[in-house]
Amino acid sequence: MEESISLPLFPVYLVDYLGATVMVILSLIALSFARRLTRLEPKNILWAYFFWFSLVMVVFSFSRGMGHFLPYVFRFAGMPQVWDLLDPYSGGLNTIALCGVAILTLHYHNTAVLIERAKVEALSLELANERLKVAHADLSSLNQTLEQQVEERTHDLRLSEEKFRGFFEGSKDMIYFCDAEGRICDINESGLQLLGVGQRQDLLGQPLAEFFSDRQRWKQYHALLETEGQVKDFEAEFVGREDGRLYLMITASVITDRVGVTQGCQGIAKDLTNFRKMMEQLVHSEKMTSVGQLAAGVAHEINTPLGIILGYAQLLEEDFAEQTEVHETLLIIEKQAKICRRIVADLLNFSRQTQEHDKLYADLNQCLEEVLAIVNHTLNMDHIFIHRCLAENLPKTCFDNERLRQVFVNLLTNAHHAIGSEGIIGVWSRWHEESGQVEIIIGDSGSGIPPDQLGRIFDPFYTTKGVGKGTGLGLSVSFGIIQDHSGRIEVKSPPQEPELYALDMHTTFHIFLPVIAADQE
Amino acid sequence: MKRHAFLLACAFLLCWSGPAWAVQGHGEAEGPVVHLMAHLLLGVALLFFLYVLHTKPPDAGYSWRSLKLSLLFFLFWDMDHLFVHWFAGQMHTDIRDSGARLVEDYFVGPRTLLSFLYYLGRYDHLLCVPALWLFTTSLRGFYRSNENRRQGSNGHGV
Repeated sequence: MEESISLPLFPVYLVDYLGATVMVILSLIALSFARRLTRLEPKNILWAYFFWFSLVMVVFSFSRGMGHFLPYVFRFAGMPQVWDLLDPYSGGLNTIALCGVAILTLHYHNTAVLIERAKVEALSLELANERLKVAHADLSSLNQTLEQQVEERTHDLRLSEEKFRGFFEGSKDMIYFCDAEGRICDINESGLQLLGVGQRQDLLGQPLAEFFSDRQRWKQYHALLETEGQVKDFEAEFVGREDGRLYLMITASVITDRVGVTQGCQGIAKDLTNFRKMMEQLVHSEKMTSVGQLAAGVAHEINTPLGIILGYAQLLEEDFAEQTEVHETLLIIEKQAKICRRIVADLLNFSRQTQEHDKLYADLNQCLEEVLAIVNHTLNMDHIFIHRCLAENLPKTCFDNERLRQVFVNLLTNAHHAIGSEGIIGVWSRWHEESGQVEIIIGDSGSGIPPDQLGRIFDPFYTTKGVGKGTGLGLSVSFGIIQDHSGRIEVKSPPQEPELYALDMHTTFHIFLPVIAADQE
Repeated sequence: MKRHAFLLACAFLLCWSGPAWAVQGHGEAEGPVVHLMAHLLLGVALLFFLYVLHTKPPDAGYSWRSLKLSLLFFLFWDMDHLFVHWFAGQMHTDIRDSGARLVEDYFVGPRTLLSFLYYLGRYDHLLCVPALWLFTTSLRGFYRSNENRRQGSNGHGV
């Protein structure tokens, strides 16, 4: 027989009973903590797992405890068969508890993974929601301020537009815009006035080239714009207003789109017409002054020997009997010497180097009437009609009656010569109160003066008449006399005033004299 | 085609008829086997949980360490029970044949290592009580840290 061992069971029972009791107590404490945790965070899956784990452990502990205690209870009670009846149920409950713990443990992990994923998704969703909230707040703020911003921008835009429009319309220079084909697409009011166009609509669409007097100049302007993209201080002559040609100084630049394609051009043109006229007058005045000084010097030097020649010729005439050859010769010398002296006198008149003349406070209309009365007969002989239109309110002024008569006679004589026979000579007198000047206009229906001669007619010794018919000093002398009266004389051929042109006037001389009171003189 | 094959199979099975046992019978040995399988299942679950906690440790705090130790003790207890149940099953025949018996105060059996281990295995409460103690300690730690955090967030904490 195999050797047997005998081991005490009392420690086993003791550990079983004590352990079962402690197990029940500990499982209940664990259940208590697990329950508190689930109450703190009901949605925490780990706490839920611990709760169910603890609950199963309580069941298991009770079941095992009963398995240890009840057999002895029933045995001492004399009913051991009762425990034999209950034992399978206790064991089954233990098995179920073990399976329950196992399933809970396995299931917890899957649930935790799922919950972790859900948390990650929830977190990302929450982040997206936060971003959405921020975006919504921004959008809401933008929406609230958008109207204000639009209003402010519109206000700024309106101000800018008003400034631009004010500059555009208020500028005294011509501002224009052209399209890519060089047609005017916008122009300001000054431009319309300069070009002599009443309505803007009449001008829009017209090629700018048509307003250039010189086609070659337009080509230069266009070439500069194409090659350099701009022109600066480009002087050009334009056809514009009815009163003549325009001298403009253009500064323009090309307008391009974002890719550099030319869309047109924009430019500012400054009117230099008056400036150029003033410059021409200044040059002319300087020239006349120089010529006058030269003439005065020559005349002064000639005047003395001429007087001696004339004096000796007259003395010799007394020594020879009349009708003799010598006497006749001396008469010719005297006559030619007198002609020379008149020329010298004219030269001195022109250069104002003569002695001071008396200026009296008188009526210019009366002076004109006196002159017209003198020349009227001669003009009638050639069937020249005089149209006179003298201002009734013409104020009196201080002037040298004799010398102004000479001016009027010169101008009327020139008019007579320009007409020849059968024509009209017009005489006007006007009072310009705003400038304090009187204007005397003498015009004729002659053939007019070619443009290339207009700038030279006041030059001394310049004449278009035949030899012996004029000295070329009439207008020069008149120019000097008017300047001596602090006035000015202008010639226009053809005249620019419709009233004058309607009367068939082809050339008009305009004399402007300041009104000087008697005490001022 | 599949439909035809299915219908043919059904017809064949109808022709090949025999007796049917709708309710499976359960013998006396099923109880211990099911219990052993339950222990095995619990062991697998505990191992899996320990593996998860080891590979993806949620925290290194005291509570988590207690929980891991608790699971380890539960696992040892489970293995101990597996051994004891298996040995108890063996004892039904061995003890009967060898004359071993359980008396009131003593376990009397053949002098073998297995029987000695069985005797030691009966002290399973030395494993499950510490396991449950560590589990309770872990829960208490979780609860207290949670409570402290809540009080801190509410302005009452330290």
